[in-house]
Amino acid sequence: MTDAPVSASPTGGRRRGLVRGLLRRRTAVLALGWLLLLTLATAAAPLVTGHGPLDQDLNSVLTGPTRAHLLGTDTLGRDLLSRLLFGGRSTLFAVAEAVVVYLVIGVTAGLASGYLGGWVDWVIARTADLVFALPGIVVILVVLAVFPGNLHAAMVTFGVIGSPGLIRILRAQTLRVREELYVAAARVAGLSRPQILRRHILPRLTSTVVVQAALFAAIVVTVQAGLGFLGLGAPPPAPSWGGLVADASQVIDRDPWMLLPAGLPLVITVVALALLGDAVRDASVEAWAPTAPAVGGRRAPHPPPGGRPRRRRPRQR
Amino acid sequence: MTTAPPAAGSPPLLELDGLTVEFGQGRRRPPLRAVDGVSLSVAPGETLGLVGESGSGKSTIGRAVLGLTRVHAGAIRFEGVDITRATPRARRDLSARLQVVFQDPYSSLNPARTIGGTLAEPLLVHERPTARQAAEKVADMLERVGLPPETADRYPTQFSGGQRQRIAIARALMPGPRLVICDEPVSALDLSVQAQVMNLLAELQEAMGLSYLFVAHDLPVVRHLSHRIVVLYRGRVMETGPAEELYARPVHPYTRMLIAAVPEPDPGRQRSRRAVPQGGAVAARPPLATATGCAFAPRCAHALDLCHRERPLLLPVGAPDRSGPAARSAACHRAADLLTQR
Amino acid sequence: MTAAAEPDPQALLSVRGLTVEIAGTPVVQDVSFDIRPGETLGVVGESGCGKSVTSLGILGLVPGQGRISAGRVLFQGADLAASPKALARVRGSGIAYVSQEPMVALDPTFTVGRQLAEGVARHTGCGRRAARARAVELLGRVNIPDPAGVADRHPHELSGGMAQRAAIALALAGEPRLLIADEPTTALDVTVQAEILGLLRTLAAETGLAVLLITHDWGVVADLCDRAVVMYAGQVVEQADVEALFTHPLHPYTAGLLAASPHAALPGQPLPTIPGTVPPPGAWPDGCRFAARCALVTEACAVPVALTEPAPGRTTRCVHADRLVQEGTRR
Repeated sequence: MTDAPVSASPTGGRRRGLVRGLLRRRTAVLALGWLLLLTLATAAAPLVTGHGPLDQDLNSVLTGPTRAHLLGTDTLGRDLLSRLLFGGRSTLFAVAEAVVVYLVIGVTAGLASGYLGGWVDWVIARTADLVFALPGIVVILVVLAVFPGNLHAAMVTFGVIGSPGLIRILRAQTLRVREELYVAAARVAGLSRPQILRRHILPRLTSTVVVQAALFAAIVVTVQAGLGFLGLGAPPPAPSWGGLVADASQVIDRDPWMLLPAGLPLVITVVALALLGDAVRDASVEAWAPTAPAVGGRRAPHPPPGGRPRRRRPRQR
Repeated sequence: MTTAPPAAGSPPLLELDGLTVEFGQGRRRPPLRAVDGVSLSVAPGETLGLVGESGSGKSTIGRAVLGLTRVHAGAIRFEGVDITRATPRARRDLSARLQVVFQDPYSSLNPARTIGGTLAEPLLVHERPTARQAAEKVADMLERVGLPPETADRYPTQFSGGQRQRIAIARALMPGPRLVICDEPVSALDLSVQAQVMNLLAELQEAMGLSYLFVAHDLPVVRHLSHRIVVLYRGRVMETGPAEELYARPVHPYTRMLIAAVPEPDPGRQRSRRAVPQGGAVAARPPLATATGCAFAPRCAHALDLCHRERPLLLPVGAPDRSGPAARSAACHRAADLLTQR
Repeated sequence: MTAAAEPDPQALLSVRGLTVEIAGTPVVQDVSFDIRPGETLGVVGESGCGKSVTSLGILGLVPGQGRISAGRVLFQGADLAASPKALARVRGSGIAYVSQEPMVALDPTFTVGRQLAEGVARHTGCGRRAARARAVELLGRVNIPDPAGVADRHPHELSGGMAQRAAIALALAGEPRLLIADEPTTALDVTVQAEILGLLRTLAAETGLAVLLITHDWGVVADLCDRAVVMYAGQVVEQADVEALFTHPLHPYTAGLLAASPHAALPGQPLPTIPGTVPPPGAWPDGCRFAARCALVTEACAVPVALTEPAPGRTTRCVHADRLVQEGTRR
C-alpha cells in the first residue's frame, strides 16, 4: 500500500527558505549590512569617536576630514562623525517608535478586521478610512505645535497615521487565508481562535508585514529628517540628521563638504530600507514557488502526479 | 460497501432533523435555501453516502454538521446531543469525536508547516502530549495510512496528491473520532490513486470502527463505499436506501436520471443503454426552486399537476416491514406506480 | 517500429513520433496515432501522462517554454510541426479546441454572441450581420434553448453546461474538420455531461466531424469513442478499437486502470489497485516505464520497449502482450 518514496526536494521550511532567498540577493545583503553597521555604530557611539557631540573646538571650524575629525567639523567646531552617530541614535530610536506603533496597531486591527468580520470589521475599516483621509504631515506639525520639541509624540502620531495602510493590506490577506481549507480543518480540529491566528494566519502574513514595515521605516526616516531640518525635532544643540543637513545647507557656500556626511547616510539608509523591503517581497514570492505559478525558470510540468486539479462550478442552476 | 454492515437497532450516531440552511442573496432576492428540510441519520460503523450534483446542498450539509456554516432551522444531534448551535467550547470537545477530510489535497494542508506539525495539531487541543509522545503518535498514524514515518518532517509540497490525501485522512484520525465527514475526498484524484485511497478508507473503517458521512457526486464511488445512500437535489432528499439496491432498482425519477446518465465502461452496454430514450427535459436553466411543489418537477418526465403544487414528503416505499438499514424511502407522489414500472 | 510507421494517407490527422519538451525535459515522447475523418479517438491516461500536452502540441500551443523537439503532425497533407504558417491556417478552421473550463475559451467581458460572431467573421470573412446570424445559428446547433437570448448574455451568466455548449459553438465557428476536446465534461455534473457527450456524438454523426477526446474517465471513452489510445509517462502504451480495448486489454497498465474503476468493483471487496506511482518526467527509467509497478515484469523489461502490433489495428508497448492475449486479464 505504500507509495513510491517521497521526493527529496530541497525546499525546506518556509522561513528558512525566505532567509536563504534573501541572503542570496546582493542588494539585500548590502542593505542589511548597512543597517546593521548603522545600528552598531550608533549604539556604540562613544566608543567609536573620542569627541562628544556637543564638544566645541573653535580652533577647527568647518575643517574637512582630518585625523582628529574623521568627517570634519561644523560651524562651532563640533565633530561631525560624533554628531552623526549621536544624531543617528535619535533617528533610529524615532524610527523604532513609529514602526512599533505602526505594527502594533496595523497587525492587531488588520487581523481582527479580516478574521472576525462583522461589526468589528466595519468599525475598524471605517476608522482606518477616516485616519487615512487625514493629511499626515499636517497632523504631525500640529502635534509638534501643541507639544513643542516632543519627538516621541510626533513619532507615535506618525505611527498611528501610517497604520491604516497596513490594516488594509493585512485585512485583505487575512480574508484570503481565512478561506483556505487548512484553516477550516484547524477549526474542525477544535483549535481556538488565538491558536488558529497564531499557527496558521500570522505566519502567512509575516513577509507582508516585514515588507511594509521596511517601507514605512524608510518614510519615517525621511519625515523625521524633514522635521529636524525645520528645527521641529529635538531642540538644538542636540544633534539630528535633519538638523545637520540644515546646518550644512547654511554654510554650503563656505564648506560644501559638510553636506556629504550630513546627507549621504540619510539617503543610504532610506534606500537600504526600501531595497530591503523589495528584496523580502521578491524572496517571499520565490519561497512560494512550489505552490504558485513560477515566475519563469524551471518548474515541474503541470499537473502534479497523483491528482487532477479538478475544479467544478460552485453552483449550477 | 466494503465493510460489514452495522448492527441493526443501535442508536444513530448522527441525526439530522429537518435541517435548513439559507444563504442571503442581497436585499432584493429571497435567500437561497441550500439545504431544505433534510432529515437523515448515520448509525455507528456505517457509511452514509450523500449523492447529488452541484447545488444539491450535500457539501453544505457536511459543513453545517462541522459547524462551519450557520444553520437556519432544524436540528443536528451527535451521540444524542444537540449540536446545532454548539458553542466554540462545545465544538472543541466535539472535535475529538467528529472530524473531516476535505476534497482538495492541495489546499487542505498548510504548506508552511511540516506534515508532522500538521498531524500533531489536533493533539494540542485535547491532550498536551510531550514532544516525544506526539512524535510517536504521528509516526504510528503515518504508518497506518501507508506512508513512511520518516516523512513527518517533510512539507506538503513534497508529496503527491494521493499522498497528501492520506495525510489529510491521518490528520482526521489523530484524535480517534467516531464519525468522519468525507467531503468529496477522492474527486480530485486520478483513477488508480482513487482506488488506493478508497481501499484505505474502507480498511480504516473496519479497523477503527469509524462511521463516514461520505459526500460525493460520483455515484459508482459512493455505491462502492457506502452502506446506505441519500440522493439530494436542490437541498432536498429525493430518495434513500441501501447502496446496492438503490443503484440496481432506483425508484425516484431523479435517481433514475442520475444513474442513467453515468456512462459505464462497456461500449456494448452503453450502446444499448443509449437506445432506450431517457426522457426528462433538457437541463436548461431551471427556475429557482419553488417553495411549493417538488423541486424536480420542472425536469421530471412523470410529473403530474400535483407534483407542481404540493411538495412530496419523504415516505417509505416497498414492503412496510422494512426498517433500519434496509429501509427505503422516496419523496415522490408517484413512488408507488414507479416502483412497479420498469 | 510499428507496421504503421508511415503516415496513413487516408487519415485526417497523422501524428508520428511526436516528442514535446518543456524547459528541456521531454514530457511526451515518440507518440504516434491517426485519426480518420469522422472518427472519435479517445486519449486516456492519468495526470502527468502527457495527454494534454500532446493535444496542445498538435496545435502548437505548448505552455511554458515548451516546444516540439521531434516528430511530424500531418494534417491534410501539411506538417504542422514544421510550418508555423500551415499551423496558423489550420487553427480554428481545420482543427478546433475545446478545453475543460469553458471560461478559458470565453472572454468574460464580451457577450457570447459577440465572441462567436468574431470567430465566424475571422474564418469566413463575412459581414457583421451575417456573422451575428450565423452565431445564433451555431448556438442553436448546440441545442442551447433560446439562442438569440443567450447570444446577448455574458459567459458568467450561463450555467456550466450552457457555457460549455457555447464554447463548443465557438469551436465550430470555423467549420473545423477535427475537434480536440480536452476533458470537456470533467468539470460538469453527470447529467450535463451526458447531454454534452450526446451533442458531440450528434455533431460527429451529422457533420462528419472527427473528435480527439482527451479524458481520464473510462465511461466517457466507452460512450463516445471509436478507438482509444492509452498513454503512460509520456508514451503511448496501447492503441485499439474501443470494444477490444475493454474486453481484452493488451497492456498491464490498461488492464490495471480498467480494474481500478469503481464500476467494476465487487461489493464487499477492496478495489484492485496498481501499486506505486507514476515516474515524473525527467525521472523516467530506461526500460519499460511501467516495469516498477507491473506484475508481469521480467529482465526483458529493462530495455526500452518498442510498439508492436500483435493483432491488426492494435498496438501495444508490452513484451508480454502474447501472455495477456492468452491469459486474458484479471477482470
